[in-house]
Amino acid sequence: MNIQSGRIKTKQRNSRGSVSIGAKLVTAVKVVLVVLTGGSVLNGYIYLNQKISETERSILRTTNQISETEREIDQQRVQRERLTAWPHIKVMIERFDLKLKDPTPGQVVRINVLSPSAAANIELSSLAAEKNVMDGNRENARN
Amino acid sequence: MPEINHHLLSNNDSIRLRMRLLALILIPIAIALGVRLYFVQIEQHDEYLEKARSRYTTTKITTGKRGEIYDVNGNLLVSNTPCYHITCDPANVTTELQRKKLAFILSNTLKIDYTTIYRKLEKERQVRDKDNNPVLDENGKPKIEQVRYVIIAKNVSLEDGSSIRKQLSANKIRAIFMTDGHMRSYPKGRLLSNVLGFTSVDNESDIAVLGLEKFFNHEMTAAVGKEKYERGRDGRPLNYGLHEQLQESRDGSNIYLTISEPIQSILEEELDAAVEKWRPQTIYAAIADPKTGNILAMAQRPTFDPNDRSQISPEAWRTRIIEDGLEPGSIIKPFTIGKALDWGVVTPNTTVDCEHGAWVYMNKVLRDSHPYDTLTISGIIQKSSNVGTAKVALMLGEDRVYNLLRSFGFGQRTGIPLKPENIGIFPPVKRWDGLSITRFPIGYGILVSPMQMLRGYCALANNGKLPKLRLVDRVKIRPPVKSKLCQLSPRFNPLTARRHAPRWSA
Repeated sequence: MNIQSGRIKTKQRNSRGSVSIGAKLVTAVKVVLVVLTGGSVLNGYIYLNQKISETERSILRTTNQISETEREIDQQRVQRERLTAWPHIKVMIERFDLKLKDPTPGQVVRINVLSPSAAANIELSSLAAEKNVMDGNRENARN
Repeated sequence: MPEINHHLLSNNDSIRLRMRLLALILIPIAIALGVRLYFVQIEQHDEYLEKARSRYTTTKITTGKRGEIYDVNGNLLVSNTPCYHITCDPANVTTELQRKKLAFILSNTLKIDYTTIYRKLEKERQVRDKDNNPVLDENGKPKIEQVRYVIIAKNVSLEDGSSIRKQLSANKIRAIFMTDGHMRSYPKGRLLSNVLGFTSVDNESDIAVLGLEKFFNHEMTAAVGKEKYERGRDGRPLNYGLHEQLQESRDGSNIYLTISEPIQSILEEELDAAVEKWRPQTIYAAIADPKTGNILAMAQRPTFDPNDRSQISPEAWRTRIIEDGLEPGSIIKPFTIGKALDWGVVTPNTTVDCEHGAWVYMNKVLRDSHPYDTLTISGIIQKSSNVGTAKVALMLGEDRVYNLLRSFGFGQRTGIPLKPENIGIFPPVKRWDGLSITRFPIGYGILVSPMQMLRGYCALANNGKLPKLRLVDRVKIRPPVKSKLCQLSPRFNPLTARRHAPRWSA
């Protein structure tokens, strides 16, 4: 739209005389600086968002891996229980013809679990003597 | 200058006129837009927001795992084995060669017939009605539809699943989808199978059929959770925007039994040996701690393997130790004699005339297996004399005999968490005939379940105190399942970054 007032304004500016090159340069530098700053902020913003996306993808991958590993652990747990069941052990004993026999009485040690109050009343010297007897029994069993 | 001014003024007038006209048109439009904007942004904001959200918001149903069953020491008896469910979108199978390759990979790994798999990968199929008749289109030709979903296999092991995944990746086939699932498994096989019971699968959910699985179904069933979130184009949740956990999912409770696996194994082995030696139709046994009432082992033959129920027989199906009722016979005698001793009616040395093995009471003969003239109370128990026990019962009277047998739990539920429980037949005194007092104490005319008898003997071994039989030690409630979607960070925003930055201090 052709507006006359604009023309007048231009004429007035021209009437003041030409602006110095230094001032123009300063303005140009300012503009460049503003543009550069804006660009840098935008770049930084995009860069950081990219990094966040990458990290999130990596988190997702790791989460999936953890989930997979947890499932594998679950499966291994069930497998372990299957292998430690007596029927399976019995089959293995028969398959490998293991010459297993019942323990000799010397190998069996009876342990009494005392209540804390009862245990507190026992003298340490008597415990040491009992330990010696048990060690002796074990030695005999080995021999 | 005046000419110029005149020229300028006339121009300005014209411009003003044009501007006014323009304003006359634009201002109402702007006002109308403003009003519309007001209604859209403020008055109808929620409505439009809801509409927009419904497009990119989804609700995900999450489920936990069914509870597990352990023995008293934490040995796993019933568990959930992770597995894959494999489905296919045949539209993503690009070429005939790829279809053949895919069919080969699947049939080879899953040990399924190649032709069956190959047929399943058909991209199109005829539409059929409920009676399996082909549906025709407007031209009278069979109606064809595109196939986008085919179930290839369920409960595929992790090894097979991972092998298939590798082969598909190497051949660049993207038509197969693997979803995580769980399969109920019984790692100890036949061990305690009648007590544990089993579940079957219906529409991806476990249906309890038998045993503890059924009795504790409510406790062991996982709670379903609901999560609402905004999703991207790929269906994954966006890391900003709405994310609500409408309902927490929770794993089912774990059940810890009083059963001890080693003792159970020994008992099962003994039963197997007895079956091999005596070839009975059925045999069952249970071991309990008389002081606590904890059942340490419980087994029966015939039984079944819950992992393979194809060969299960009706006899094996029942938990006979709970469901059966039997006339106990001589094994009930110690209860009457024991109470008579306890009450001081007799002593171990009291002598009773056993009528040389045949005693006529109310015109009915009661016999012993061997003839005895006189026996002490100890002798009655040792020789298992019917006549001697009946005479001791007569010394006690009907009411006392009834009360003493009730006090040992006969005719009452044991409280074992298994159904259906047989409570036996033990009529009240008013329904006794004159002979009942001589027959019930020797185990004739009444019906007891094996568990009732076990509880009665526990009481005898526990100084007469009747314990409550316990099969379940504890029920462990598990915490809610942590949502994996909740951990997402917000998108970086330089304006808010500083606000959320961590503050370091020396």
